[in-house]
Amino acid sequence: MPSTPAALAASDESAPELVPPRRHEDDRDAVAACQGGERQAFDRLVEKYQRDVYRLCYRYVNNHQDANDMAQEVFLKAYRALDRFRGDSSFSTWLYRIAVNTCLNFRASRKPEAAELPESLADKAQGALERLERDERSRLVREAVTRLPEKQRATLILKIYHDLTHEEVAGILGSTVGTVKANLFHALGNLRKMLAAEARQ
Amino acid sequence: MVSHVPEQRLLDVLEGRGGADRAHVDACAQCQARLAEAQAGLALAVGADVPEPSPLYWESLRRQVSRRVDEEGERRPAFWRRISLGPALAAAAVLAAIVIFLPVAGRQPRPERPLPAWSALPPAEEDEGLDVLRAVAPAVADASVPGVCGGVAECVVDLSDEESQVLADHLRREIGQGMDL
Repeated sequence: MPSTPAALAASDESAPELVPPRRHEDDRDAVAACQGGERQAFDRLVEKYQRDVYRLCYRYVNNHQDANDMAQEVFLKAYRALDRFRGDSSFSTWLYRIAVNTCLNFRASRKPEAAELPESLADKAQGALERLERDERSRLVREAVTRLPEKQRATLILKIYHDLTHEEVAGILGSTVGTVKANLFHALGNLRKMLAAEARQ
Repeated sequence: MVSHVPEQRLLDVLEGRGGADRAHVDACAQCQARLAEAQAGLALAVGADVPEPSPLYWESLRRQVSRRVDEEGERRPAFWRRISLGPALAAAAVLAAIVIFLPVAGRQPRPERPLPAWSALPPAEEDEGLDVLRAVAPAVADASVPGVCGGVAECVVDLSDEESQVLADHLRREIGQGMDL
C-alpha cells in the first residue's frame, strides 16, 4: 500500500503492472489450467486473491458479514465467467472489475450498515487507549469512505488501498486516467471535509 | 483572471510530479489550500486499516468458495467445447463402433480413483493448534480428536452456530480465569 505521495507516484512510474510479471505468468497458467478443467487451479487463485477481494468488499460495506458474502459472490462470478476470460487484461484487473461491480450492485440493493467485526477477546484484554483511538479513527474514516460518491469511492479504494496504477483503475472503472486523477483528488478533499465536519460536531 | 491548476494536475503535484504546476501552487493561496486539503485527506485515508479477521477465516473463506463452486457442478473441460461439431460427431461414431464390436465378457469394473486430497492445513496428528486448544479449553479439545474432525482449524471452521457458541463460552471462561477477568 503506498503510504506517501511519493510512493503513490512511484507506483505509476516504476510499477505499471498490478503484480510482478512472474505472478502474471502464474495467474495465466492457473487460468489456463482452470479453463482446461483443472478444478484445483481455481482454488489456487482463490487462495491468492481472497485477501484482496475481501478487503475491497469490506471497504464498500464496512462490516465483516457482508464482506464475506460478497467475497464469495465475487469468486463465484469469476468462476462462472472464467471461460470468457481471454487475457486482454491481467487476471487480477479482471477480478477487481468483477469485485467493484459486485460491490456497486450490492450497495444498490442494500442499505449500508456500519456494524463492525466484533473485537476479539485479546483486543479487549489489551485495551490500550492508544489502540482504541487509532481504531476509532480508522472506523470513522472507513465510514466516511462509504459515504463518498460512487466513482470517487471506487477510485480511492482501488488506488489507495489496493496499490493500483491510475491506468489500471481507469481500466477497471471504464474511465480515463484524467478522470481517475480528478476523482481521486475530489475524493481526498471530500474525505477531509467530512471528517472535519464530524470532528466539529 | 487567474486560471488555477485543474484537479488531475493538482494530483500530480500531490504525488510529487507536475513541476510547472508546482510553481503556480507555490504562488497561489487558493491552489495551496486545495492541495493541503487533499494531502490531509490522503493522510487520513492511508491510516484507516480494515480489521483483520481471524487467521482461521481465510481457510474458512476458501472452503466456502470451494463448496459453492462444487455446487455449480463439474465444469466441462474447455477442450470439448472448442471441438467443432462435425469432427466430434465423426469421432463419436468411430468410438461407438469400437465399443459395440468389442467383446464385453470378462470385463472387471475399474476401481474408483480416490479424489485428490488437498489442504493447506497440517494433518490432525501434527496440528499443534490442538495442543493449544487443549491447554485453553480441555473440554473442547477432547472433542477435537482425529477422526471426529481434522486439526483444530478444521474443527473450528466446521462448527455449527451452537458449537461455535459452546467454544466461545469455553474460551471466554478459560481466558477469563487465566487473566483474572
